[in-house]
Amino acid sequence: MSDVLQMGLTGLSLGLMYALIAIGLTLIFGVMRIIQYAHGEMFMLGAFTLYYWHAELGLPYWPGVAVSALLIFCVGAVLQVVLFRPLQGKNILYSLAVSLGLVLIISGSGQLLFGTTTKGIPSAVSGGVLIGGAYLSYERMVISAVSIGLIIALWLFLRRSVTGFAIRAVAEDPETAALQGIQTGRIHWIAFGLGSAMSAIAGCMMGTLLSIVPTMGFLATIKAFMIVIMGGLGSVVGALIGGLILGMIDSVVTTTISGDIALILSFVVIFLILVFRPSGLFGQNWD
Amino acid sequence: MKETSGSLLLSRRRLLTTGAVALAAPAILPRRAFSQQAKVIRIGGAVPLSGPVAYWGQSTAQGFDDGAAVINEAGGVMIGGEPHMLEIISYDTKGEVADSRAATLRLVEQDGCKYVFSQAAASNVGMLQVTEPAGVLSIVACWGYLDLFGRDYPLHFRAEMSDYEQGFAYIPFMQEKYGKDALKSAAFIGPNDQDGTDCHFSYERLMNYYGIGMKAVEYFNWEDTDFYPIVAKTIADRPDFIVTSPSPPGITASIIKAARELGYTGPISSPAASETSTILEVAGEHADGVVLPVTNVTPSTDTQKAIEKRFLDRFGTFNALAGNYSWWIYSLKAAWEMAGTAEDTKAVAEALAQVELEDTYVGKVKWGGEKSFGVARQGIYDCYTTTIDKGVAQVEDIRFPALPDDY
Repeated sequence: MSDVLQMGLTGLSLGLMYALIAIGLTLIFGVMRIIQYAHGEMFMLGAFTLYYWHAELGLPYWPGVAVSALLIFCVGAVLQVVLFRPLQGKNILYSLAVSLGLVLIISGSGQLLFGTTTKGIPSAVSGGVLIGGAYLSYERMVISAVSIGLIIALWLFLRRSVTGFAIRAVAEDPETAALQGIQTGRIHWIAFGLGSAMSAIAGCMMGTLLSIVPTMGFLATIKAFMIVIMGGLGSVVGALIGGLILGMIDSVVTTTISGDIALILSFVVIFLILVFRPSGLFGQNWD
Repeated sequence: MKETSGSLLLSRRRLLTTGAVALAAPAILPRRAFSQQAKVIRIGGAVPLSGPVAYWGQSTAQGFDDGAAVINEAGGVMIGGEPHMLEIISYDTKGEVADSRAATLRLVEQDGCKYVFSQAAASNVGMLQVTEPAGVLSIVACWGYLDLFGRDYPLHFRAEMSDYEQGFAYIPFMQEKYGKDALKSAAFIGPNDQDGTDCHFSYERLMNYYGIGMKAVEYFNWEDTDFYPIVAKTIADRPDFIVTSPSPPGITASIIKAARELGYTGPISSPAASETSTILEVAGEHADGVVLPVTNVTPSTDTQKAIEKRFLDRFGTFNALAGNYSWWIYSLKAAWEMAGTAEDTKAVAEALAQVELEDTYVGKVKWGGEKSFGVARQGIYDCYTTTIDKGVAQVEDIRFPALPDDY
């Protein structure tokens, strides 16, 4: 019983972290219809910002997370204005090429600036609690709570705020939104910055839980794309559900069978979803 | 990207320092460094300078850059009474087989290197496709791919002790420290590639030799982010201790952290994770009870202290791993001088196999493995075992591996 609970708790915390990375990516695609391959690099930059703030300078942890999110929001917004805005309306391959270039530039620069040694971010909390024989560290509880809080906050922001309405309107139909007086250019950099900031916060959380290296962004991007394709491009709810599915597969299948089978099964599940729902679980038909 | 001696530098400060040194070099270096008459031995590095295993590659290249500078400053390598200067040329393999093959081809055909060093399995595989057919002597750190080592590769030397050789030092140490009865069973965690399966093969031989029962065997994917699931499965079998091999420091630290959080209290040894600062940073309070063979975190001899100081001056950084690789070039120097040639790589290989060094960063060094591999091409040296206790890493044992008679 405790084994099952342990698998469930691990899968849940893992899934929420995955969802946090993927939601930023799906937000950017939903609003701008571009493939942002450098999303994982924002994840990495966010983690390193917190590392230098907290581990190197000894400044408090949580303000560091906020600074990291703010900084990467600005980085994302600038990238959108400088690099992606000129590509608006062009073939998606252009943005793909630009973001792939960004991956190489940012991860390469990261190795030069941050070094190649694996680093660790000291945790803000320590210890844990036994729940029904399963161990749950306070660190994972905090990270899960932050992930849930951010996902709810984003959902409320998109549903209740004026800017959120504008983001949804642009995602739904940019031309009609523009005719209604929405400044689509402004919405684009806000969405890009917001998506990047979400990724940065995920980087802070996972970087604290695990370890950080300048090349960590690549795997984050792969996971995010797996989740987004599973949940449906542009769907926040889809990203959450996709993240939880992937987290549960990683936890349960790795514990009971093996990590190899978990990886294979993850792709089998994605293929099955795409066979029966080609746009993903909650995706729209973007054609 | 081409890297020449002493230029494997990463930070802006080091980049600026290098630039300044390069500009000032003609004024401050001895004239012989630029002499047209001085013979030059070019040593090529086909090493990962970027990518996930860059840390290992950079540490290796630093050893050659530092050693070449020291040897050149002392007058070079004396062959037949004539001084030979050393030049190091390194290319980035990115830790990929194809890039390593291309880099080695360039080193051998374009730069005329008769000696190539490499690091980690993928770079080693790519390098060997070029070096052996071209009669080029290679010296590497690689534990897996044992089919690419031995009698059929007479010019190929593996300088770093694999987990197998290390085991004959750290297993006896652990048995003394914890008691034989406390270490009756073990579990293995490694990557799901040939390196991992080869290391598991070594681990099996080692455990059989010491009569230790084997429980869980788990392989992680390099894509894994969270090690809770795999560790939960491993410790369910209640092994007395866990061996993670060959796992880089970050992954090892994550495994340690997960194991401790899930309630595992036994020793965890990691023959490949010679980077205690990462383990302490990532695993924090959970790092206690970790055993790190071939990890000398506290240089104690004059030679070790001098190497540490030079690395800090030259590269701005030093770690135990870089120290471990620092002796390779001195072994080559001894071989050239013993063979009386740098041109005949077969003669140098035979001489190199005879070289023994007494005072290196890793203490005493020799080449062994003749009975196991058909040729003495495996580096064997004093094993400095570091343990972590109460958040402090310190060398707790130094011993030369007590290898079996049939090794």
